Amino acid sequence: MTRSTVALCAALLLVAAAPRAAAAGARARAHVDTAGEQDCASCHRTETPAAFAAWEGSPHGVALVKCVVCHGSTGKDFRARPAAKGCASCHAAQAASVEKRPVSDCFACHAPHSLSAHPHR
Amino acid sequence: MTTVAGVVIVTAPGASSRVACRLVGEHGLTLAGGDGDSRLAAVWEAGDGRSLEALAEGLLARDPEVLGVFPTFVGRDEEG
Amino acid sequence: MGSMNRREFLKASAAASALVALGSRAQAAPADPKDLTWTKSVCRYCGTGCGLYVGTKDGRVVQVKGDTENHNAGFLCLKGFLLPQVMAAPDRLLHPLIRKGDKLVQASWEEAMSLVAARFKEAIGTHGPDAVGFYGSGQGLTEETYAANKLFKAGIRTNNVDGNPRLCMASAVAGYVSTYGKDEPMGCYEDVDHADTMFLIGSNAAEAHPVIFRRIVKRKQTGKDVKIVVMDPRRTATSRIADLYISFTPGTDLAILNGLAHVLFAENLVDEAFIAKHLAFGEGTEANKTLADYRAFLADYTPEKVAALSGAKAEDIVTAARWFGAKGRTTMSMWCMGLNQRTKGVWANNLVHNLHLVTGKIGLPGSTPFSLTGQPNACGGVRDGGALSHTLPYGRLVANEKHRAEMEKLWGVPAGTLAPKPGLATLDMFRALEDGKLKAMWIMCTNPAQSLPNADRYRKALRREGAFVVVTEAFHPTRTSELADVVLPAALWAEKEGVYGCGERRYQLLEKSVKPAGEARPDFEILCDLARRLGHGALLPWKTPAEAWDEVRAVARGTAYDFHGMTRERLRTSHGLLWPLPAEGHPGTNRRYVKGEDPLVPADAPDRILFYGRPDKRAVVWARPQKPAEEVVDAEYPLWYTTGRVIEHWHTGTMTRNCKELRQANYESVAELHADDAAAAGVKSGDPVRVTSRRGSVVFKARVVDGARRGLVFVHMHDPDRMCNRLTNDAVDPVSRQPEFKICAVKLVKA
Repeated sequence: MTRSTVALCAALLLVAAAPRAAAAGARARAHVDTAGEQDCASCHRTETPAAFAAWEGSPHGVALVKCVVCHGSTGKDFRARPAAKGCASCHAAQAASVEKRPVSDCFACHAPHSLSAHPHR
Repeated sequence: MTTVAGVVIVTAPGASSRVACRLVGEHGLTLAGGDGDSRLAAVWEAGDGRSLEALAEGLLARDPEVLGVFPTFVGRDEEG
Repeated sequence: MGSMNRREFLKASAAASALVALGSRAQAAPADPKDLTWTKSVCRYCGTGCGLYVGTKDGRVVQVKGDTENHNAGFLCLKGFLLPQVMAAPDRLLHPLIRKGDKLVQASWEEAMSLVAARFKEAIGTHGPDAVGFYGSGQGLTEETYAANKLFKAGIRTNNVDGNPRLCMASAVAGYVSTYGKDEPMGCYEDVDHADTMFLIGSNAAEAHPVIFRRIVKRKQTGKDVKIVVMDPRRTATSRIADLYISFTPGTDLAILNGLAHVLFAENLVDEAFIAKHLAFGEGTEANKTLADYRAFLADYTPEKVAALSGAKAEDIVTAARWFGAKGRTTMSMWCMGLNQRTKGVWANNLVHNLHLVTGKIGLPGSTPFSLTGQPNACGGVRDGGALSHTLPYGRLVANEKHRAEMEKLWGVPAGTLAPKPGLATLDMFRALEDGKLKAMWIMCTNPAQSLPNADRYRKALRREGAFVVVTEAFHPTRTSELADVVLPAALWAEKEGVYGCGERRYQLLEKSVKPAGEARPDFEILCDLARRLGHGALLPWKTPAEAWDEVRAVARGTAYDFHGMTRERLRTSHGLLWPLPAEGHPGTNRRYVKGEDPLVPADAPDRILFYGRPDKRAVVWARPQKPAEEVVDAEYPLWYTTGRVIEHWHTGTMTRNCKELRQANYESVAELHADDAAAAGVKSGDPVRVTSRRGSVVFKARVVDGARRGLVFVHMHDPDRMCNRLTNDAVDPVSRQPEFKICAVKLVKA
């Protein structure tokens, strides 16, 4: 009889456990645990420079519609890919117009972060 | 040799029941419960430890409402 | 065990561990918007006054969406969207508290109010009405502020009624009043849509008035050849859209404004006909000068001299003036605390008005001097409602015998009831607490122990032996409630109904969405209760704010504010209405003083504009010389220190710091520095620095920011644990009594 080996992974902290989950062999699309509170720019300016620059130059960047508005905080409510229906909160008319057309959602035309529209993408 | 893992699948807020429906047919995955909001508990059985990672990657890639797959327990049944 | 049993065992263990890891029940799933009940309301935060709908489910506020039919076109800033988290915050105060020793302990309403009434009666009985005071707020509902004003001035008979707009808008008020005879902007937000040139001075609208800023950006994008001039010592997010950005030494902006006027005259960009018909000229307090006197006054403010004094470039001053005065183009100015929170704040306001007056760029779509307001109801409640120590409702003055007689009649009190001398303005009130002359203070809906300048001094005053301080608050602890003798739980925002008046003269109704948390009560009810206990129940006989609204309208009738046509029903069905609105059928007034738009301008007025605020029907161009800040940098304190706001938070953060996204995005006050200043101190971003003024010393983390001005340190006001105001100067403008939060001198070392 072969003994089964049992390994218990401690994973009680769910969303913030991404690095630990990686070690245990599973990847998560939750946000990296930010030690204490910091503003998004302090990491993302260098960690995701393209996305950050695209955002900064976009209408959202000028109007200071910052990361948390679409993506939530880095806690449980983090949304790596914001639902397009969130756009309707400010852009109700535009969001409603999409329902009438054969496109899936806002991001079918509006590139994330830069928000520039490429209708024939 | 089979790996048996307990996993918590974290979904987008409110999406757990939709994700659960989509997981019903997932080979080797047995749903064990959830919190009704964004987390599902499941048991997964597969050939070896590397496949657990493949399961996680596959779920994350296919289903945008799956945000994370976290093992809480990994055991190996050497025999069956 | 067989392998099957082992397998069963493993699976059971796996399932059990996963289920255990789910922990306690998650929050309820976000509601489907179709299941929610929506109530029309207004944002709790800044003076922009965005309309919104509050979505409730099962008696809780769960969502907020913008009102597409209001001036904000459905837009809200991130603070507004996250309001639901504020309602359910863990530090909501649910029960009255009474101080016993050095602790605040829970008490019943009866116990707390009995104590308060007894102490107030004792103070009034022993030392007279002026031994007590009311410190109110531009966040209180109009009806609440009206009730407090009436109780204290007509019931208790003290004019010690003031409010936190003294700290933010008083200079704008005195600027409008000294120039036009009446307070409040004459334009509206819609003027942004018609402005060809916009001047933003002393304003970081991108962070402090985001939805107005969005409208400005939209205008720049869609208008033809729209030019934006931004003037600010710091290159803030607002300057990103500037066609011309002008930095200058803090406190030298009066020179620059006079410099602009100088160029307008030198290059003949003024409207001589307009000047002749509509303007008077003044100096000091007398409007008895001439145009020639004014031009002589301006002679010294050449671009070169102004440049030398201020550090701005002479050619930029010329360009800015040319853009301002360009014929055939509209010009709108917007400003905020950079001009108001100054010992020369009133003068700075006058100087902006001067530019619009001498060019005639006023009272036209897109041409207007528009002061941006900070709080959601500074205008409606405190300014318009006359709840300052020298004012009476709707444009009346304590010192004016005729006005007092009018109010005595309207309030049904005997002639001579209202005290003829103005009471104590904010800092004077706290100083009276400090020296023992004020025995009891009622603080409603504000956080002075964090927001007053030179905060340590007034924190001490609040705990002075013998002082009795009552605070009504929705949260506990705040930096003020922690010092109080009695803390009363106040209903918050969606838990009560009432009117807010925002920065563009728009009055809007906030409808009640949910019941107050715990034992909290609306301030309106608390004040009516206090009135009854002090024997003045007849003055505040109402059960609800709606009952008081008819009286409020009646008191404003016939004044320059006349909004008699704004019945409760009209407010309920509309998306805000702009006064004057004297009759029920009237649509409201976008532009005051304009014939055909303002119902107070007679149809047969000779010109397009009538400045009816002053007896001579003219607006005054005041000659205000450049004067520096009260405290300037020197060898010992070589850096300028300024304070302000960031988009994530509002005021002292008691609400916004309860929102996880906002707390995360901007957790603490830091010292924003120019790279050279950081290098000189031997610090880099993240290092602790000790910033010290003559009044206090605080350690902040340093942060080197792009756009910082060399020699200037900026700290935001929203952090209760790193209070910027321990350093600020409590020197005040002699006319407005508004403190100089914006400028003082500090030294900085690595901590």
